[in-house]
Amino acid sequence: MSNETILKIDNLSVSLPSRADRAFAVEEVSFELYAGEILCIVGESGSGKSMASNAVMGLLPKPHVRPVNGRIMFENQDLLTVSDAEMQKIRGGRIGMIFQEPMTALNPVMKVEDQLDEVFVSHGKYSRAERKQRIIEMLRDVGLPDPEIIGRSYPFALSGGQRQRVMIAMALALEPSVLIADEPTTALDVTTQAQILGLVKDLQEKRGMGVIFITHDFGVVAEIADRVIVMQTGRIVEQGSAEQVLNSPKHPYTQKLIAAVPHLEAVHKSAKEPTPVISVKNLQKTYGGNSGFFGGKGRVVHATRDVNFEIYKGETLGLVGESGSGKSTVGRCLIRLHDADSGQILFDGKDINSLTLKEMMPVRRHIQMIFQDPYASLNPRRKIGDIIVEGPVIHGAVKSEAMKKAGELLELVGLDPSALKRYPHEFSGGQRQRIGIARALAMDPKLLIADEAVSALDVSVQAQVLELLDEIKERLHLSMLFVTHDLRVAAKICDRIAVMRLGEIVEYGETSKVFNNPQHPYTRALLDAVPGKAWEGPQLEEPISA
Amino acid sequence: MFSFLIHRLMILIPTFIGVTLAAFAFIRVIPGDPILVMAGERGITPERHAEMMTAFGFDKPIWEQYFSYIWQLLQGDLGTSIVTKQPVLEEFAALFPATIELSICALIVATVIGIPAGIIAAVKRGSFFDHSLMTLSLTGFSMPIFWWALLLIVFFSGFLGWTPVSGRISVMFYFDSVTGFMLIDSWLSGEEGAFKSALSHLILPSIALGTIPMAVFARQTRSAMLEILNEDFIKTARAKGLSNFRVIVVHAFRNALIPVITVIGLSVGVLLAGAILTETIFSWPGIGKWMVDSIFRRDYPVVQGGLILIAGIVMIINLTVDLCYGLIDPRIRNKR
Amino acid sequence: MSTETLNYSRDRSALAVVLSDFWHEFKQNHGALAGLVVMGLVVLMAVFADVIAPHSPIEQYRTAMLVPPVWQDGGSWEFILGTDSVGRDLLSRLIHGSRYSLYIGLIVIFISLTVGVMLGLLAAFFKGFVENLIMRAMDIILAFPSLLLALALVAILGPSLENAMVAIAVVLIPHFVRITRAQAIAELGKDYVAASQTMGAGVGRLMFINVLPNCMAPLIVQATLSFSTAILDAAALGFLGMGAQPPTPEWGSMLAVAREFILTASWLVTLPGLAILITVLSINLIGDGLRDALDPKMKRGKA
Repeated sequence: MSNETILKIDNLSVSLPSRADRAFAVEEVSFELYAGEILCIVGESGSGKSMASNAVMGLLPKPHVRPVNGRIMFENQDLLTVSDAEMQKIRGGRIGMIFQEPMTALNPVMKVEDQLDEVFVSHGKYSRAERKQRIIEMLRDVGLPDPEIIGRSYPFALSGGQRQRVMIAMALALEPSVLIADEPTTALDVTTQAQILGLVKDLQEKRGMGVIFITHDFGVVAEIADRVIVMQTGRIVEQGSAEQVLNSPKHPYTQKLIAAVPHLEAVHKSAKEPTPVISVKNLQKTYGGNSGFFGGKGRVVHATRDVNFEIYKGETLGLVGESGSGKSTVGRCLIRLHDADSGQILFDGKDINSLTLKEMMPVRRHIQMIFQDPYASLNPRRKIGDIIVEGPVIHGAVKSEAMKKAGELLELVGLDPSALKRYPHEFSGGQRQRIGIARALAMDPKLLIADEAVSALDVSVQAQVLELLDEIKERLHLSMLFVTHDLRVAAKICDRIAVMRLGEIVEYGETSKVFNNPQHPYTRALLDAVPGKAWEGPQLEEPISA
Repeated sequence: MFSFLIHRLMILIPTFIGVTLAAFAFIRVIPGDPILVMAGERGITPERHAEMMTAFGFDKPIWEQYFSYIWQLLQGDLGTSIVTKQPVLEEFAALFPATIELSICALIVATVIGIPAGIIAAVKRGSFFDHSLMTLSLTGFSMPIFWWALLLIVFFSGFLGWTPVSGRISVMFYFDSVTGFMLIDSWLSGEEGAFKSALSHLILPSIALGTIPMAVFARQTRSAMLEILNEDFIKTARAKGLSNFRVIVVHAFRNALIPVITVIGLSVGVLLAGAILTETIFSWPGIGKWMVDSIFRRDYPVVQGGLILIAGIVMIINLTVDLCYGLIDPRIRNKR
Repeated sequence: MSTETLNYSRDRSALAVVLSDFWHEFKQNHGALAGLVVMGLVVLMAVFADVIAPHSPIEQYRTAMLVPPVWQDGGSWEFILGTDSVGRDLLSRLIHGSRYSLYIGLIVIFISLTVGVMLGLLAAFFKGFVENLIMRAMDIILAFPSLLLALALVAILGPSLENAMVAIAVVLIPHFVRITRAQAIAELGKDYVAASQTMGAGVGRLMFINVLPNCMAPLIVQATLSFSTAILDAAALGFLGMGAQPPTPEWGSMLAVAREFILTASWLVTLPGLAILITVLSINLIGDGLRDALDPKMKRGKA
């Protein structure tokens, strides 16, 4: 790594439209990018981390959000003042950029090779034959098999990981000296994320580029960063080498963020009495297949096959896996949001799966669910109070009494009872998730199913909600099925773990055993892919003070 | 693509059966004796009445009536006009080219002006041009076209004397119909001034009929473009360093075409509905005027047959639009 | 564990906040505001027609036939906008005509909205046979050009204003069905509905308490658009002689009668048409404003 500065941002401020919650998206931000380094910008949602990089590319959402102060110096010119034509040459030519959502970042109606070819054509590089050659080389360089076939495909035919590789090929086609990566792995599964991170690091070393890598995930930072910048509400609060920021953070905000990151070591929980609350036997569920006459033979997808597990009284069982592994389907079958094709779900001596909807009614009280998206899981047109008491009222409770209890529950989950009369849109994501928990508790359940319940939350809020769940579970002697894709979260909260892959449970056992001594190769691959697994985190004197 | 086509056809068949049922029911739900109603003030002799009862099959059970109706339909027999005694299908075939000619010209007017205007408005969002265009197009969209047609006549025919008031061509010219399209026939006839006369007769009706589609195209193109311009892949295209023109035309417009083609397809129904008014006002001898006249003359076999034929055309055009999606969007092409 | 601070504004009820947010979005749109003002005037005109109109809309002044408006030669202040061929005051007829347009719009919307929403909800909740039946029936209606179908229906029912309204309502139903169904299906996929299901909520509760209120935004916009379509179509039917019958001062049928005077007494053609255009345009302006203010997609575009 040299100390040659290739990009220098000097006192940059970017204004927001007048009705936004603050005046500047980015305020008085200064930093430098050196040749051959990976600079990570970390922050929670709304910290302005993406705005800074969009300003470099001149890609801010146009009329309202614009840079009002500062300079962005690149190759001896200020990018905020160069002409549009100059900027077009720099974009894609000297600075490349990749984005978060590989599913939407490629033009759906254009072949991959045509989208790559465009880069060369618009920058006036190479003859036709050379371009063809270069495209194949580029696709091969980013590790895509059969580059000829991939080139002739449309984006919809590629997986998320493959699309992100195409994006990288496109951004690096003209060998830029700077690559800006805006959360490029956030939408990907953990094993794919590991591959893409490896690829970025590899290409960066080979070409000696400077990389600005924007992320919210300290694990990713630990995996690839040379230097780190931490942003909070539009300002830089800390910057330094990766080693220094990760292991001895100075600023209290950084300390708080890092303390909130769950670590991969399984917390040892006291052995529970092994009385099963629910036992699942040979659960099968397929999708598709019956597409009617003339529809051709529908592809049958096995969402789950031969799934067996038990949840003991008072324990948290983690169901982990990547997207499409069938883990959410299992959760939803347990409360009959989906109907399983075959198998048994024994709860209180009854097979839930064979109950009619009417017979299911009394059982519903005992099994409740907490959902992933805090914005979609509360009805925006109903008051919090009505949302919480809906269940008890359906089951015959008097509304005024149910309301009183709802107020107590809100206090239990750490909210003011006055929230009863408010609408969901007045609450933040974390607060809404607490309301979702209160709603589930209003039914006095014996079993809670948490479906990716903290995945949509920022890391510091995530830590609080996890703690709340754990505390409530202990206090009310509940059992919990915790469905998640995040192994760090699973390590923190689960007593036992079932690892799912393609609809099957491949490994099932105590968390510490599964994490410390994985038996199945897939479990090992998953654990290996967790970014920043080697990073233990600093020993901070103060515990989380969120 | 093939199975996609089959799937669309499978939905079309029950719909078309429904259309025939609706048209079949049309004559039979008229309150009172349908023969007497059709005869109206003309009156009818008891012999003729009995004859017509048998001819329409009103004396048979209802399901038998329907099946013999369908059977005739399948043989291309859509009934006979009470007034002209001509087969409905023949009358339709003779008048339909006039409506096609008018609709195509109106569609050209609407597309050529509406779509580019919508693109420019989207690209220059919030500008003076955008605001004026949106106000204008909303006015066009709100236009009672029968009134608009009258105003055009008052101004261009009455005040300026530029264009003829009605018909397809000046009575000075007479030649045999070859294609049914007056523009082509007049050109083929070689008579001097015939083509010009046909064209001048087309101008006002095309503008009147094309106004609402033009407004709809401009608005739809603008909103589709605005939506696409917000997509991630547009940001990617800009990040690649493409020129503005390329981003807008190659990346944005091609994706915006899908919703735009939808409204063009849907506008066929709008055009045919508009043709009813436009043709009546300009005395344009097409199927719109034919249907209105038949309704007034209580020539119900014609109305019944016309309903089926027009619905059939609308459905075929909707199918064509679906196929166009496949040509533009590879995702649909590859769907089962 | 500490409590996150609640950052809602006190003193104002949540509904007031929602409404004021909506109003803030709506009033950004000057066109929509102008539409609202004009529409307000039209409503006042309709309500107080008897008071405002200088003459009876059907009284025939035999001595004052085809009197031009006041700004033309031969016009008089007695008949500000002139008179028609049988000597009726045009201004009074236009003022009374606004009653018919609003009446038509309201009744048509009421019929097509209630029927359309019910069918749309049924189609969204009962997949399979019920859904197919409803949606195919709507396809059949949509296969006919709207005005043609309305004409045919009026031909069956007999020409009158009431029958024209029924016919127009039938033609507009499919739009409400499609929008309701699409929106309801989107809402059904959201977790708040799943949460209600896990509580044991029945179909009725899911439909009307949970899903329907969340479908209202696009339905309100569609209702506004249909309001203007209803006025236009009713005028067209009136123009063709299949809607309101003379001497009813309905704008479309006034135009039909005035057609023969198109070159001699042009005010009889221009003014009723202008009345239709202004009313429809202002409703459409309001519709546009509502769409921008209610459409969450547009909101997300802003910061």
